[in-house]
Amino acid sequence: MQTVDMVIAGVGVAAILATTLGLVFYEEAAGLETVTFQEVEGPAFGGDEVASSGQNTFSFAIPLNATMAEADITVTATRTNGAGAASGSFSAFLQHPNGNQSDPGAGTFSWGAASQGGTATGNAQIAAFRFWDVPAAMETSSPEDVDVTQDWGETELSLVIDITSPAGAPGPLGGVTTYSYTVTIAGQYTVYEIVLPTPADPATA
Amino acid sequence: MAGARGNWNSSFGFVMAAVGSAVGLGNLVRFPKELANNGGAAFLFVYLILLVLVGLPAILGEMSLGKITQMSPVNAFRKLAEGGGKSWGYVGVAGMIAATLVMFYYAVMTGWTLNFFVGTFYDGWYDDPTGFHGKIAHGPWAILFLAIVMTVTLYVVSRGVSGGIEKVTSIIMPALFGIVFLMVIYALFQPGMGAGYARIFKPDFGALTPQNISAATGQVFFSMSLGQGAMLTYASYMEKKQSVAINGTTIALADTGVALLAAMMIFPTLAFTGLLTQYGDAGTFGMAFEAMPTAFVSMGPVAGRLLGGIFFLGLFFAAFSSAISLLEVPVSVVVDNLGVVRQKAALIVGGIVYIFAVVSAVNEYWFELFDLIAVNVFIVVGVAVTTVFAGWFAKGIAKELDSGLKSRIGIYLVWMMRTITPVLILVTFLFGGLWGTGIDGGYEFFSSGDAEHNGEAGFHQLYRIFMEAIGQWDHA
Repeated sequence: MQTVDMVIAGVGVAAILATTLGLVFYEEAAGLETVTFQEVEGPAFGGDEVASSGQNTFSFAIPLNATMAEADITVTATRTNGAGAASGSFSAFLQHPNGNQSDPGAGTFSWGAASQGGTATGNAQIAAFRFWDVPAAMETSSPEDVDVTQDWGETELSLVIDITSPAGAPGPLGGVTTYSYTVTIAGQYTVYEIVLPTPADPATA
Repeated sequence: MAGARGNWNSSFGFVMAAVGSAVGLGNLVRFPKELANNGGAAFLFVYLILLVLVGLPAILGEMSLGKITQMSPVNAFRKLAEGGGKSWGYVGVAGMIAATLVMFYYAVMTGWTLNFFVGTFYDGWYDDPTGFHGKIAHGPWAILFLAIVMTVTLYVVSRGVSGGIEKVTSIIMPALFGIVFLMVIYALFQPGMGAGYARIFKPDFGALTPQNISAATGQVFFSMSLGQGAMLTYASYMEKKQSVAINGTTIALADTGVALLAAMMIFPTLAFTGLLTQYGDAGTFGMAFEAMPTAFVSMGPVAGRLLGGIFFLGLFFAAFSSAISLLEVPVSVVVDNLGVVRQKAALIVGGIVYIFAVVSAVNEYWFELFDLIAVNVFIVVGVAVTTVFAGWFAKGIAKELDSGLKSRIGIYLVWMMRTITPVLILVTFLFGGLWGTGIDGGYEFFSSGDAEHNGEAGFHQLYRIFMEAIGQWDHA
């Protein structure tokens, strides 16, 4: 066999090997981390406000295949029959339908020592986390783990505000102290809409 | 000796092969979107000036090197160097590497076009016009159609110049022209198509930024397959009696004509299907593989599938004819320099190209990396150095350009190769490649642009893509 024929045979074997490896390991080699994000600004939640006495958890649907990047959340707490200083807190986070949650933003609200009732407000922001910081539900701490086979457009995330009422003594009249809350999501929110991988344009064609 | 290498049977055959090399997705899709989004007729005006100042001298210089020597790139540079400078052969090597690098991903793209054409006959793109490309771009489908494309390309090249390349391109290029012309006429008679014409022809000179002018220059020489040794190689198979000036000018005009017709095909089609706003500024792939399929689907199952099938067949013809010329470059070098017979050279080169193209077929970063290296390093430098070589160091260029003509234009063209053309290419290289626009809009060396890589400088982009390809880029 001549040298050139041996080279052809070698290239042929390498080509078959490359094909086999490509077919077997293409998922691992496919560079799935190329999820990109398109910044989208949207209106506030249509003026969505929820006020409910005795309710401590609020949930808002976010019908976007997106991760919220910025949202201002204000909790206005109203106390009746209270007594003295007290403080409560709340956290806000995104939640996947399967229950997994993003890192929360947190806020507090408080009443002064002389306060008997009235309102107190607290503010929290969910700020600047990106998709891979959000939920393990989306299976990820880094973009290469994002499951690009899933249709994220059908994923409806929830923005959840979970309020912890102040613990403490009953009111001065011996009655039960009650708290009610109004949650406002104000102003603009910014999301990073998930853009599934599409091949980059070549400079030559 | 020349006869042993093969020759074109006719000027028509040569022009069809060379136009086939030049006309690719860059003409059918990239040029239209550049035209529409960079100033319309104003962009066209600049493009035509640059075609004369950059494209024409560059293609005529490259073709002259091949025609005079009747050799493949490496030997052609060595032979024509004044004083016999052997090191000029490295320029030919660079051209061969450029063609090979481009083929590493272009073969995959050619497979996509074939897959889209085949997808007309089942629920491929028609069933999922915006998602089909994502499904077939990388992975098993990409490998399958890459294998088909490489097998056919390899076969055509192995059949030789007249028996393979000329025979095939003499059929598919006229067919491509017919397809484009048919679709232009169809779009012309559809209500609502006028907005598409306005988009591509309404002049906006305010849009002519330095970067857009740089883009026009890049479009000129990317479109004409320059800096990759393809035109040199094809011209090396010309008969002595054939004129470089006439054929080269014909190729440049045909290349531009097809690009213009493609613009008159795509944008009016988007307009009459109501998709101009949504897809008017889409990228090359978005335009070819999402916008156009969506437009065809909106026409209904009969007209949509028929026109879509024809369109994708045209895309395949354009890409396939370019792929043939790209593979021919390294094959001709192996044949000429190593004395390997053409069939065996095609097997070796085609096999090596296929192996690397498989990498592009499964991993988009390598796909992009091959493109960036070919463009930022080899092609731009290759065009400039080849033009400078033809203008300053090669023997007999002016005489070759005058052959077959009554008037003496060779000396003027050589003067352009010495001065204007390389300077304009250098400017393109600096503003379009090495420099990007920073966040403040100013030009910055090694600019990384913003978080989404807008305005990213060539070297920074090259670095990023390389790190992504080896899995070491921090996306956060």
